[in-house]
Amino acid sequence: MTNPTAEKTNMDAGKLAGLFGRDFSLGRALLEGRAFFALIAIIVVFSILSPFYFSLNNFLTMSSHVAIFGLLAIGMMIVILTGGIDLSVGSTLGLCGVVSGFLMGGVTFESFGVILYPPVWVVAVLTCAVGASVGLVNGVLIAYFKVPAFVATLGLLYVARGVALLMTNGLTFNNLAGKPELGNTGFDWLGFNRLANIPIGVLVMIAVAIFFSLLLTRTAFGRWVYSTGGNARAAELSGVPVKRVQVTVYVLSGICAALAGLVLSSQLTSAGPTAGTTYELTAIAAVVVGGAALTGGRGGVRGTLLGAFVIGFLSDGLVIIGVSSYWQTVFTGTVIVLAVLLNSIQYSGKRPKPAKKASAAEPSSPKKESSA
Amino acid sequence: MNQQAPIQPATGEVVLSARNVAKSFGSVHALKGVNFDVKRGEVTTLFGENGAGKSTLMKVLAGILTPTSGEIVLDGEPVMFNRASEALERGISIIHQELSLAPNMTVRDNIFMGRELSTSSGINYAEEERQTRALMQELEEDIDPLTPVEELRLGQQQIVEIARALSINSRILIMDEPTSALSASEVEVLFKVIRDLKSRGVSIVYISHHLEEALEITDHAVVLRDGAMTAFAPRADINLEWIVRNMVGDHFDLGSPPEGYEMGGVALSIENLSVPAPGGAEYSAVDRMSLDVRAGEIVCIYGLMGAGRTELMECVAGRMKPSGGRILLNGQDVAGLSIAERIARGLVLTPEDRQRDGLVQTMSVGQNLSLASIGTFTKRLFTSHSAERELIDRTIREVTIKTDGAHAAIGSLSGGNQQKVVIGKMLATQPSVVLLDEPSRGIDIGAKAEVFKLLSQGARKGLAVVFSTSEVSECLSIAHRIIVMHKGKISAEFGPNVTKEQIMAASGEVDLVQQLKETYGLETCQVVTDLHRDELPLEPLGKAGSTFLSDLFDRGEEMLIGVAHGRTLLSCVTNISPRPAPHVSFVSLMGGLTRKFDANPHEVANRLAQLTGAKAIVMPVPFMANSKNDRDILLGQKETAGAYEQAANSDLMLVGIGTTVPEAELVTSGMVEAAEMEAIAGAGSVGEMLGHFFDAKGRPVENALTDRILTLPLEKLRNKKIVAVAGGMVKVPAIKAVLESGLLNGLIVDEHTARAIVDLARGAGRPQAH
Repeated sequence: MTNPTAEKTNMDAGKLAGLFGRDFSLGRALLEGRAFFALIAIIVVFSILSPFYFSLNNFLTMSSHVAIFGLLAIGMMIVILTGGIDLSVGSTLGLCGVVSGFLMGGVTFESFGVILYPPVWVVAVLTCAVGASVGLVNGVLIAYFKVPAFVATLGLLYVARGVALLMTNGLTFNNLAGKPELGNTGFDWLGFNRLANIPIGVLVMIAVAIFFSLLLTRTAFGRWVYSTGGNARAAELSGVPVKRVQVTVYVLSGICAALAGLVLSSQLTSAGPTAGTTYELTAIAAVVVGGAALTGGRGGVRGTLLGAFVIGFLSDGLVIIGVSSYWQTVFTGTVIVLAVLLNSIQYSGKRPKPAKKASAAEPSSPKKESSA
Repeated sequence: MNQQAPIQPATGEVVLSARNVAKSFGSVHALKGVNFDVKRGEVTTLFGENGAGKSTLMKVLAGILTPTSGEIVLDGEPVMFNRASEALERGISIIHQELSLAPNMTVRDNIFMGRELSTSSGINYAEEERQTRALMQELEEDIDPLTPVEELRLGQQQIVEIARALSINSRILIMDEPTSALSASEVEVLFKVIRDLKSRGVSIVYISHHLEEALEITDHAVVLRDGAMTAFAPRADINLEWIVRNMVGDHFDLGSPPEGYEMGGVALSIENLSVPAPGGAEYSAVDRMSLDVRAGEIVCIYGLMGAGRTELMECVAGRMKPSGGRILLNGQDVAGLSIAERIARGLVLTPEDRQRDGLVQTMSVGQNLSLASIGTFTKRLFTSHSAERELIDRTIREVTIKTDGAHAAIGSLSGGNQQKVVIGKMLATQPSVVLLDEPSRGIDIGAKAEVFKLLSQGARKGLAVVFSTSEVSECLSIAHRIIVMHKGKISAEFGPNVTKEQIMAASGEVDLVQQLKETYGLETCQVVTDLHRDELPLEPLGKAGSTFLSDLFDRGEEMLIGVAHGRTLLSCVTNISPRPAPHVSFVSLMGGLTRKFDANPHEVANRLAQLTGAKAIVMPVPFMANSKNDRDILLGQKETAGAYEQAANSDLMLVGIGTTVPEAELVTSGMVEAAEMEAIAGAGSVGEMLGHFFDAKGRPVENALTDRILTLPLEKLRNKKIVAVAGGMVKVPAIKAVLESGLLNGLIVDEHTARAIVDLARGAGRPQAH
């Protein structure tokens, strides 16, 4: 790498540090750099291809799209850090959207003959509780009943979606605005309002990102998450409550999905039972593009957010320049595969074989050979 | 077993040599000019500490790595391998410590993996199976080609790996620590295979940390230190001390028990603890064991694999649940406490397998070190970087970990330093009791000494230390007390002044042979490995019996061998190969005609005679007469009397041992009626030999049959050379009874039975040094 580039990275890193807060070093920037460089490349390419792409307004719009995936991806990441996976987040998002729509429409207590219209904050809290309980079921199945994470969350994917469809009979809640006389207006605040010109959804994502970042880097729980994913047996013997950690991460992931559901239904001012279908895959893609290892123990909030931005900015860019949605799928897939390819190269420590034998001995990998 | 095959093809010719081989990884010089030869049909062992370059050298030989300079000479011509498959084509195979078998596939499929024998209609399974069977026969291993590899024991899996190497005509076999996970008897089998391979001209390059073991098998030793070869010598010129001297450079000492301070009260008290064996097995891995450890005391638990050491420690640490008994930590019962809670109360464990259970590979050295004590540097919600830093730095200093710093990757550390991280992590929690499961596993002598020094420093400060080991030399280092475990129980307890032999003798794997010989005054004793665990291990016993007989024949001395009858003896005969031995003659020791004619009791003597061309004298009388008078009449007949006389004079008697259960062979063959046998058993007899019955104490039991059986009287059997071939768990009481009678001079028995007999004998008078 030549010097000017390095300086440029440093400068960009400085900017990012402003965005994401604490200790953003050059080394880390390089390690996570590929997602970052990909994001820069995407912005540059689309700015050239479309005059509308490079504008603050467009960035903010795209960011509010990213917020949905970003929230899901952060929850997904913390699960993946423990070596698990949560396939149910897309369905949980749909279910939570439906639950919020249902609550906004009023809860009828027939025995008392009253209809209760909870205020928006109560709706939000109850919705998050629903997300958390889906996560709780996942976590208990996985940690205590030893059901493989893939299977348990696949099951919940179907169950949550099914419940959402049952609740609505397959229809969509459209009336989410609430009525002033009932005191439950303001649901659209999450999706439409802006603070300092930044969409609330994006702010929610940033808040969640900061929370998880602190959680992972500054608390004992964060260390437990990394050690559980790195080597659960060793962690357990070191006194880490591995099972509790596993349950907690799925609960957190469920809450993230619920938040994403709230933001999405607020953006759409409607809650459909099929919302968020296959979003779990996009979330996993964002985590992987962000440099986390699916085997657990490696990854971080910053990388995951970058991953979510790469995928979001890429697909929105493709829409803006008018590429067909079929091609969009192909591009997105390619980016994901490339990211995983880079991951496996990074984590295996192997480099591509030198073309010539003579160069085999050159000090390309100063890694000490471990001997018996 | 300990002798090499008598005929060897031309050995000594150099097949492979390393000339000035050097290998560098960047600035790290893993190998600095190594020169040695591998000779045909001989074993060359690479000795060296961790990081000495053994594995690198081995990988260079196998073509996995290309040397930076120097060359490999194969059959006199320099070769350059770019990948392992090229070396394989030239007949060099490598067997890694971690076996490369697919556990879900059968032995056959593993052996032909990647080079399946295909025909136009698919894979030729029949041919593959035939070849696999042939290979197993060559290796004298009774492994069915269709067994899934996961059902085999580790030792057998290793054999499969060897078979695979042989199936591609490997002439040079490189084995990396092949014995590290094997039991003593499996090691025996492996060594037998290695000797066999040698006799067929296969050269072996062997790597082992187990010096004594390697010395037993090797013909040449290459010693490496820091990538340079320090010595290369034939077996005859070297001994253990020589190797160690060359390996470590100077004198080494694992230390002695720390002294000069007062031990505190009992810190850890284990009372009557039982732990079920993992995997739902029906027995207890730890069986009602009790042990007290005082503060400041170092206790070493010696035991072999499966003795229950790991289960004991994991149960105390809280990973396994006990099925009975209790554990007191400083007087408080820890039942129901989680691992974390036990750590918080000062009870910690460093696990046996540091890669699997000790280290988090994705975390740095520092994060690993602080993992168990996060609570101590967490203030309210958040961890304190400075407090963590301080803890890590202090631990690195105290435990003397050689690392680039707290941020270094855990994988960048040598094995010894990784182990120190695992130990340091637990010591950082300020424990009062520390359990270490095999702390010296896979680390070199220097690091071992440092770890032990660390432990004795801890003990001085009042730490109660319990460590386990499977190397006797480590028992005799810093431990104040040495506990020997065998089958979940404490089989002996010693002070620091015990000898290695005493420890080994109590561990159960003693030499079963030695134990049997000593307990029962046997002159010859052979314990055969029985890999298939049949009820009655006829085949291995038969093989051993036939070897025993063949050796006798080959002595060329004139000899009269008396033989009894029975299935076991017959299988000895069927396993024998024809060989002329006209100087030997055989005599039936007893009558054996029965009402059932399909059983021919004289087959043993007759077949032996046939195979050797020797004379056979048989007693043409039944096993049992109708009355004492009848017996005397029968024995009075000229021919019988002659045979009877001869039998009494035989130089050696080869006999079987029978039980008195209703299913006994004597009953099924029709020699004794079921009702009669019931009466015999009722009289207290448990074992039978040559028609004489003995009770559990070995005393002859007189019964209604005694006078009617046509056999030599007991007094004629005294001071005779009687060798019994017998085995099978059902026969344990019977064999023991006959052994107790003191009549036997030799015994050929299978391993399980031998162990059961030794255990029983020990139960009666357990050796206790304290």
